[in-house]
Amino acid sequence: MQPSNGNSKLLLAASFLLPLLIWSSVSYLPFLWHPNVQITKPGDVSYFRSEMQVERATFDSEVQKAIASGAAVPQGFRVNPVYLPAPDQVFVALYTSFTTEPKRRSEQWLHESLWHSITIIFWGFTLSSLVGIPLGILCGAYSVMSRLFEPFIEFFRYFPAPAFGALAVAILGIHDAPKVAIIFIGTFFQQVLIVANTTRMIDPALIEAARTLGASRPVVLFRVVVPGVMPALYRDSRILLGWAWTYLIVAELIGTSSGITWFITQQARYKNFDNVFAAIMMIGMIGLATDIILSRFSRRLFRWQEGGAH
Amino acid sequence: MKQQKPNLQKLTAQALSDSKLSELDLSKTTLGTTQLSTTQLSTTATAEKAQANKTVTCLDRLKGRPMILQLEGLSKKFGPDLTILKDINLGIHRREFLTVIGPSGCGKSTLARTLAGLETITNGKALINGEPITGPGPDRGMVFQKYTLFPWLTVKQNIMFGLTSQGRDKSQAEGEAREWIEIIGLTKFSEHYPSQLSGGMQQRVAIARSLATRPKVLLMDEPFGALDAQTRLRMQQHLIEIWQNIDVTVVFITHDLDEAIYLADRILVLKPNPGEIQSLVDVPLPRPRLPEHLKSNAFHTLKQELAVLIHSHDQSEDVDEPLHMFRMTNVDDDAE
Repeated sequence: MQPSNGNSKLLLAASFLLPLLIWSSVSYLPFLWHPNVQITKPGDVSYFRSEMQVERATFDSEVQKAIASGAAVPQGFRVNPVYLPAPDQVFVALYTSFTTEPKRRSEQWLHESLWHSITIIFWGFTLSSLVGIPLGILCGAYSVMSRLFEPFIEFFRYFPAPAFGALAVAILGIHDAPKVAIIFIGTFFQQVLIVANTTRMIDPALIEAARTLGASRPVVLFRVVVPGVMPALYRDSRILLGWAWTYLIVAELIGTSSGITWFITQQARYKNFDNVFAAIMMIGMIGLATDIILSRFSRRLFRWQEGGAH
Repeated sequence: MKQQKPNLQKLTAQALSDSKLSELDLSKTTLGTTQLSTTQLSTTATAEKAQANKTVTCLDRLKGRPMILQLEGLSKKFGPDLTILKDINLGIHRREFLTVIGPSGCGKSTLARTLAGLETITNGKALINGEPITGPGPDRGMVFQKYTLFPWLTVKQNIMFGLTSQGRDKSQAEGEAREWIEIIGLTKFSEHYPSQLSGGMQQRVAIARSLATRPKVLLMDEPFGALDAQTRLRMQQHLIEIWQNIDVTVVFITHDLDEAIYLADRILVLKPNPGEIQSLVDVPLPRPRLPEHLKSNAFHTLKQELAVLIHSHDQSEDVDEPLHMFRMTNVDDDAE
């Protein structure tokens, strides 16, 4: 069943609001979870310090002890662990992390880190597509190609791309090249197989129609198969691009750590978890925005498809 | 009617004179089938006799034309055991309109696909213009039941496809496509995509697309099967009109007897398992065909004759089995 247009917008909003609501309740309702206590007055407990966080059980037992012995009772309020910042902190961090100056001169601003990540993704994915899509189409169109290439690719794709990290660094150095290579390895082998499968799904009746019109094999390939599978290939590429982001995080850790992953590890080291969350959300937002732009573009590109008409 | 006939004859005569077809050795071809005589069929209706005589001369003239398609002992097997077509011997004349009927499983679609070159031949020969058919080619166009227009191309681009894929100049192809669009009456839709057209329009474009490459033979595999009755009738008239004005031989597969008779010069009846020729029937109706012909005696006699031929081999046994229906309503009054 399809929801009506108004309803589907409502559902879209709800699908984002529901997780936000859960996060907010856990953050702002002090009786929900909040497993720690932040100490405001240490009282007579020797190891308590102001602004220190302790587990609720520890705090409670110290309070009991203090009452029993008549010492000064420590005071504090319930908080969540430092690794779960509240939504408002993260939303502020979405902005402030951009304006926070790097701690060392050699380090990058956040926007520079993000841009660096995007270029790595771009090159890895583009290089993979330049080889993978044509090869996939050939494998899908001609069984000879399929039998020649697909068994090895099928085997190779089970190697986890990050396993090639050390090798890539040894061959390509410590900078960007091995990172691009990891994304290439992570994308390419899947891409060939997916593109080949998509190509095989073209309506054979269209190929037959073309052949009865006197089209030669290359003409069938370039003027029927390729345009015919283009919308499906475009969809595949959107999904594969999402996977490429997954490999990015690993890729950026090998050699010299860089990009958004460097930012995240660095901020986690400083315990700026609001910045960590903000950075993770940025990756999500960039991914979603890219996908929305690509999907809009596809409607323009493939106007001939049913529903996209008029 | 009187205006069109000389035209048609002129076209045909011209077509025949400028071809080398007449040099073909016709004695080679065999029509190894039982042919119903036209006179036998029309004796019951004396009123139609004069007309029938005219038709006979028409058919005689048709049979005087050279063969364009010759099938000699053609057999088609899928795998070692499954015989779809067995020992088909048939000659199809230039500019003939042949319809092929038969119960399901008689291999009529396979016959069309084999002639198109989409299926390989297991045994025997299929010749077009004396040359063996080895694969698909622009000399044989095909229109499928399924809509097979390229969805990413506009109507005009679809019609241009066959021309440009054979290296024809683009502007010339465009000009020819425009003429075809005018012929099929879709001028307003030339820049539309197939998804924006109705089924009937799509099939009209498919016919134009096939004919644009000027094939000698147009193979049609139940092309109007998915259309509603009204559209179907209009499409049949369109098709006849197009066929009358160009030099093309039509092999038209259908399961609809009315359609088979209405369109054809001759009807090939196949019987199933394996697909063999049951008979080859002349259609005793004059041309141009008019909707009135559907009500004539000759039409009905022929239709009954064909129905008997087909049903004697119809293997769908479940047709006559009674339904295991039981009463599911409490309402008392019987609907009947």
